[in-house]
Amino acid sequence: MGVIRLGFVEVRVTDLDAAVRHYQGSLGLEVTGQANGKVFLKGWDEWDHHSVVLQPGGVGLVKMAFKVEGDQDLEDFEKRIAAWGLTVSRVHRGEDFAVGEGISTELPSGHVVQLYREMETLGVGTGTENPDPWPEGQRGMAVPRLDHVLVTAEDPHLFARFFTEVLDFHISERVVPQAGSDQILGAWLFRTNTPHDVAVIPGPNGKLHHFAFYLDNWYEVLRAGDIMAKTGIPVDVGPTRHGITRGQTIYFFDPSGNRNEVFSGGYITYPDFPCITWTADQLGKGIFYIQRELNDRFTTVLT
Amino acid sequence: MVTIYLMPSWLTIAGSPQATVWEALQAAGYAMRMGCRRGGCGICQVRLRAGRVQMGAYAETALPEEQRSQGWVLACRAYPVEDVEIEIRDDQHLRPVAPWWARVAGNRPSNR
Ligand code: FES
Ligand SMILES: [Fe+2]
Repeated sequence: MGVIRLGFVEVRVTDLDAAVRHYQGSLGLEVTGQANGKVFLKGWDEWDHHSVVLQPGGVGLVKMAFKVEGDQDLEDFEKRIAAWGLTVSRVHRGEDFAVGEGISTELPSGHVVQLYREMETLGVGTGTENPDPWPEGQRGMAVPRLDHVLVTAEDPHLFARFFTEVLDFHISERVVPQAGSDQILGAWLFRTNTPHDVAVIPGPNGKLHHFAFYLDNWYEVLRAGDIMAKTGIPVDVGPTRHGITRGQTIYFFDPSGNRNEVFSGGYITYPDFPCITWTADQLGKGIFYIQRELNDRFTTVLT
Repeated sequence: MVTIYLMPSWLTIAGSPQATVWEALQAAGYAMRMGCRRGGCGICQVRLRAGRVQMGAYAETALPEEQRSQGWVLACRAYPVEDVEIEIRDDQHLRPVAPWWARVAGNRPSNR
């Protein structure tokens, strides 16, 4: 029971048509619906109706939504969030296109977190019986699924506390000021078996750093980079490797300036996974393992 | 073709109403600190000292109306429609990358 995974991110885009061309054409997501001016998309290996929602007007994150396992979870989390001192509101079936009952809260960092139990299921092209490894008609980077989201908060320690104390997330890796300190400057948190479903670093409240899509391997990441070059997508950094999560990566920007990532590799996690600690003096290596230094965008370019 | 004067260095480069200030800089063999290059993050805010630009789509959070009215523009979204004077801050690190190549090759600003 509890949170299963990051279900979807809803992001603002200045130009909806350009955004659809990017997420559908270049990343290879599938448009699964349009309602209330918003466009809904999913990856080819995602069963539920959507994992990305594009909302016209501005940039940044409207909300991150996590899927929970049972109806009881919604009731339990409603109480636990309230007991932690935050305001919780009910999200009714149909308020969000194709999404069932849920609850929503605004964190002290200004980020909106929604929990829901049900979403319309569309299935995947390969089906559930004697499936081929991938479906026909793939486009662009052909990302199979959403992987994680990273945001900034003035108090990242508090952000991590919410996710661990209230939503039972585990911390795979954290950055502390120096060895022996328990003060969290950055945290990578998981409920799935991946290194992170959500992560936080210091920065202004309410901002989006990036959301990431999974790719199978290093070569797919390189190929995604080729597509960025061929189609004129601005690249932030990569291909390279993260020290933290051990993942292989390219950061790039959507047509509105929201940062995306393609991410592959990384280790698997489980509830008894020990927390890995980085000291702040090694942050460069932690973020970009090969270059061992941050570029002038990593901590400052946000939407 | 228009001319872009970059302050405080007085570096003078060729511009075009079809290319952003940043694209013109690139074509001339220069670079500066940039972020999303898509009008979303506001990192590339520069001061328009003289002349007019046409702005492409950008997020209000990247360039609030107040800043816009005080003459700030986004280098990644500003298309100079006439000769312009643009002020670049020290921390934006205007720097040569391949100015000689650009000159010898006769690069023109394009909107790629
Ligand atoms: S580089 Fe992000 S707004 Fe220009
Ligand atoms: Fe990431």
